[in-house]
Amino acid sequence: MKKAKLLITICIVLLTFCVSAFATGDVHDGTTVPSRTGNGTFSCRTIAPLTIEVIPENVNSGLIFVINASGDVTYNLPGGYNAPHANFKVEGELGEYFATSLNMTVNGDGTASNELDHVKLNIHWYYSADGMNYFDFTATGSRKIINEGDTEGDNIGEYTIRAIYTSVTVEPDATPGSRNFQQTLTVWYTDGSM
Amino acid sequence: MKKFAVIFAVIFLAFAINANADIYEPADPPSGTGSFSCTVWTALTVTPDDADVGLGTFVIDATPYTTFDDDDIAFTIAGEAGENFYFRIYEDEDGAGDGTIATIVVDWTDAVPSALLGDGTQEGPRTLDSGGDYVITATVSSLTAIDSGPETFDQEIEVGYTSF
Repeated sequence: MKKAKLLITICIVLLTFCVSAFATGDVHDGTTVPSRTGNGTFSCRTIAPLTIEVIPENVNSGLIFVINASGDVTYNLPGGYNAPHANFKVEGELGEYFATSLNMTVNGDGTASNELDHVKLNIHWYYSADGMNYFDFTATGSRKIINEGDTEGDNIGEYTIRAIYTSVTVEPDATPGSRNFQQTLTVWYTDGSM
Repeated sequence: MKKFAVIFAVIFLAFAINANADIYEPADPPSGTGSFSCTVWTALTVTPDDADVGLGTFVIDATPYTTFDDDDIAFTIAGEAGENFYFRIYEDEDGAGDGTIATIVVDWTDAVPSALLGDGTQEGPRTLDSGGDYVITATVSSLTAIDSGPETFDQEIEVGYTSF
């Protein structure tokens, strides 16, 4: 009787050791898949680059101005946004804002000036956000691309900036010959907070 | 004679009772104790410090961008302090658009001074610190903008106490 009880006790103790060893030999986390996951996301937005198409490239290059030996002479040209002009058609992502800068250079070497060899050129700038109505333009602040232009649905819009030269002044010391006044429009995206 | 017989019978009975008394169980019967034991650990969790990191808006260009509004996600793995765990990183560098909108390069780092392998390779074990935490960070090092549109790049870390 005592032996039987002793055997039962030994069995229980051994079973306890056995169960204990099993319990510490593995890790159970209560799921069928012994792992957990965490997710994070990077997000971004990509937009079309800004481009500028100049139409036409040369404006009224055939105009002729005569030197007056007795003093400066100013030729006033037809004004208004519909006068002969060059359009700078800016294309970019619809709904985005962009900033601008204007620069007139001469000599072909990038000298910033509106006067070359005793000939002075004055330019007036207009803009049109919708492609129909034009307003005076100054290169400050942000502009928003809202006009879908000719190709609807591609998320590319256009914004027109127009250059019209309003007058040319020729000094007596000017030498005959052609002049080239280069207009440079630079654009870049902004967040619209300028 | 009969009296002697009765006396002997009583004596034998007394012996018998005494004999039986010798093998009586004690008042508290003997017992054996067995027990089950276990160890309970804190469940592993993985928590990103930001579920959606906005990298910014990028103009389409063949040259990769390397500057971003924000560029990293720190995944904190929490569990039983001092215990080891294993993990797998599932990175997405082509985005939902399968590389048609934008692609990124993601670098994975942790406390070990070497770049993690990333993308489905099991790594570890690593050891949770005294606070029960371990941080693995995903950092975007470059982005190439291919076409217009929004894009998302899902990053995932899977962890387990045992190899899986």
